[in-house]
Amino acid sequence: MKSEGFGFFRKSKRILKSRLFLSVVLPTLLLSASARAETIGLVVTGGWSIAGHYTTDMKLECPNGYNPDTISSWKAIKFNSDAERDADWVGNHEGNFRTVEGGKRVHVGFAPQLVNETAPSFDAIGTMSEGLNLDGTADGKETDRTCKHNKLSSPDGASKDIDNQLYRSVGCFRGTRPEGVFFQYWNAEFETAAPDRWLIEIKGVDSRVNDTHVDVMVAHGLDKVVKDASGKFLPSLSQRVDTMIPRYVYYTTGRIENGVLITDPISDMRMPSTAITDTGEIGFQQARWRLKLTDTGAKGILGAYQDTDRFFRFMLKTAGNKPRATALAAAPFWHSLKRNADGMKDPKTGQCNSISAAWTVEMTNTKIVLDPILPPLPSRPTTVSSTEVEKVTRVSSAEK
Amino acid sequence: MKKIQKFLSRQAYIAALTLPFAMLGMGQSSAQVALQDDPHPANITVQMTDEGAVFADAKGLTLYSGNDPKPGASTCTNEIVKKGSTVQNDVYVLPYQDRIKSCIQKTPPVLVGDAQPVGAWTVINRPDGLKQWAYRGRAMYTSEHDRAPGDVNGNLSGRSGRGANGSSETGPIFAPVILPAEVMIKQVGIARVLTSKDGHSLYALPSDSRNKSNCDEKCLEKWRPLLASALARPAGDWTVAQRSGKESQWAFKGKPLYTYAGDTVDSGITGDGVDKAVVALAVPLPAVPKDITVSRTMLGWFYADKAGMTVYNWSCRPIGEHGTPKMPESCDSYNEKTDFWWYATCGDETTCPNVWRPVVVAEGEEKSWKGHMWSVVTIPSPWGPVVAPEGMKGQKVWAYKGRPVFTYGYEDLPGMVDGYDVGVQGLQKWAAIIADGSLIGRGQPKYLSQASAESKQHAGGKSR
Repeated sequence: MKSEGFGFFRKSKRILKSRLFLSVVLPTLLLSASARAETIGLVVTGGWSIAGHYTTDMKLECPNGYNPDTISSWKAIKFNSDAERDADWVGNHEGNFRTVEGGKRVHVGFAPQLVNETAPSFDAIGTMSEGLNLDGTADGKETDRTCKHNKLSSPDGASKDIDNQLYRSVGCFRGTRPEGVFFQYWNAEFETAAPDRWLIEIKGVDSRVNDTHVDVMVAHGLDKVVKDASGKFLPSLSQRVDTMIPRYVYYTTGRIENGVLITDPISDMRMPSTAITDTGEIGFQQARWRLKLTDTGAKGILGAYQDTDRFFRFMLKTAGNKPRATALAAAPFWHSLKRNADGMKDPKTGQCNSISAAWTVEMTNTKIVLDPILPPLPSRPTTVSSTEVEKVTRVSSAEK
Repeated sequence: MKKIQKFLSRQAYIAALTLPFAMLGMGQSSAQVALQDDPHPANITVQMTDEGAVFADAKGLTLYSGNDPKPGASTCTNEIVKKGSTVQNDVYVLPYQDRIKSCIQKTPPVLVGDAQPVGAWTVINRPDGLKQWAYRGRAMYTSEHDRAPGDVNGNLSGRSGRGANGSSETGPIFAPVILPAEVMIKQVGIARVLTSKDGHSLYALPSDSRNKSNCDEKCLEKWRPLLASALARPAGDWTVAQRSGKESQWAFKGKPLYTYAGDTVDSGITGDGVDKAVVALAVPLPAVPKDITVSRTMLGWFYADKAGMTVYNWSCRPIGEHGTPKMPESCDSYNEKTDFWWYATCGDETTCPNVWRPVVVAEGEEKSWKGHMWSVVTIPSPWGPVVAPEGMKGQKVWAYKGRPVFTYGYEDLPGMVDGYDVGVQGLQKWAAIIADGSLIGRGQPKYLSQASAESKQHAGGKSR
């Protein structure tokens, strides 16, 4: 006599194999599951800054005070006579030019490697920062791809393995600190400037609290962000994806843990940006987002390495072009970036060419849409591996 | 899990992003310019240029309005200003005093001579006793950057207000054409597009016949006829097509015109190519070398080399805020002594050619080239971002409006504009060149019209 269990099993098998189940029931179940999956759209609306520990009196992180700006640096030069000083100032009213070894006249921004300023500049020495562990080590030791450096601890003490060497380079320049003008302007431009429209779309979200796999797209948007009368950005307005420049579309994957989106790295993410009215591309290598999802958007960190030369040129064009306002002295800044570089080690020279960075960011919910007039979205690669960190995930329109 | 990677070849990527200018020009006719009957003095001429018909002096050199603050007066003198000031009002002495030019040297006033005022042309009595022409109240000048009839080098396209080089030219003076009251001309990049009065680009549909619209109800959902008033009469290139009912529609060269529902006033000409529609141009697109393309960047459509890399001019701004000079003119012209301003953004004569790379003219191209807005010039050797003096040996490169063009060596992908506005103290900068915005549309653009100047005029009514 067959057991009831065995008979039930045989009956279940028949049901599962039945045409009705396969053709109607199963697809309905699957469709319901996918229909339940949510898509979250986000647009950067501010909070943009380099994470780090900044105190009001600066004594903790910059015991020597602000680093000199370009004009202060020029004033510190020891000329042989007043006449020589006056001659040097002609055509040099922003203090950008220096006469270097050999009598050559150079601009500090475009030949910083030739300039060692008389007035000293210092790195920030704070030990706390929000951020991510980018190099995979617990203590910043040298690896075959990274250079030795000091780690930072998160403010809540939970993480002691944070990589954010960029904080050290910018932390004592007046313009790039929270009280300086650079980020005040740049954040305002996340509202007003067309290039500064960065989108994140999270698809396949089964749970906003915990989800082991989501698909993520980063792209440039085309539409304005709008504030209400109280000054808050309105959530859930729409944002069209800029498919006219498909290389600004990036795909990756991620997960949600305790309400925090953590994405897998994007190997070379370059986004357009306008900062203090000048526009360029800012590049993020091994870029990862860690964003706390909220009712109206998200808040968190973009962790990445930044090629020091490319980042320097972006800063020179934006902040460095207005040295009086931003107080960013080009030559010391360049030397600091090189000194603090900790990523993308050149196997031949051992020199690290990128610097770890943690950018704070705030985002507002948006509905990400496609404009039928514009070219279609580049197709997502068939597979996007989360383990191949060197993989290029940039997609272009030829894959349509 | 299988890992399938699709990487686009560089060539295909470029093809997707750029559009060779060789594709343009198909379908353009060489129709006559329909100018207004607008009287001008005996020593003022009308000259055809790549930007349209302009007023010119007796030698055919393009006329420009100046940076004069008030109509009916000229502030352009022979004074050499030797000091500049910053926005913080710090006054400083300009370098290279022996090279500083006066306003008159840069933009010579157009003198009346023995001619008589007529129509919109009046006479300004200058402080130096000379009499200068004014058109519609604005003092008239030529530009030192123009060397031959047809040159419009004094005003780099796409930059309004002061000329892009900061000189006192604010724009060429276009000879007026006949336009209905419902139509105006709008600059879209370097394209001069016919638009409705509220700035929406105008198009023609291939389904229409001569002076007859065949746009049915479905078509009208996307294409809105440019309606003519009941008093509209044909004039010049403009005719009136009767629609069903009592409506009349403007037609240009027999083609009824429409706006596109998908356009906004800021969207350029997105309707171009939709349903094979053709945007209506006031001026034919200029001839562009086949080594020059157009690339879509985050700042718009810019000229690029054949690889899609944005091209740039070296541009000086001798006039800063409040009209005070900031830089000597030598910044963007050749001087015997090595000018360190050239090398300021790139090092020296050995490093600069790798940072700012000239777009070299292929062998044989110079002889066959017939264009005007784009030309072949020689840059000096060793490298300089300026035109070499006559007879000097150097490198033959492409030039836009007489200024050699370069790509930026730090850009590694088509469509980047990192080189834009790279400069020194806001005075000398590398400027990208805004290109024809018409390529935003889908399909191959075909251009309808050949009218050639900017004016607002009632067709069928009295000339103003």
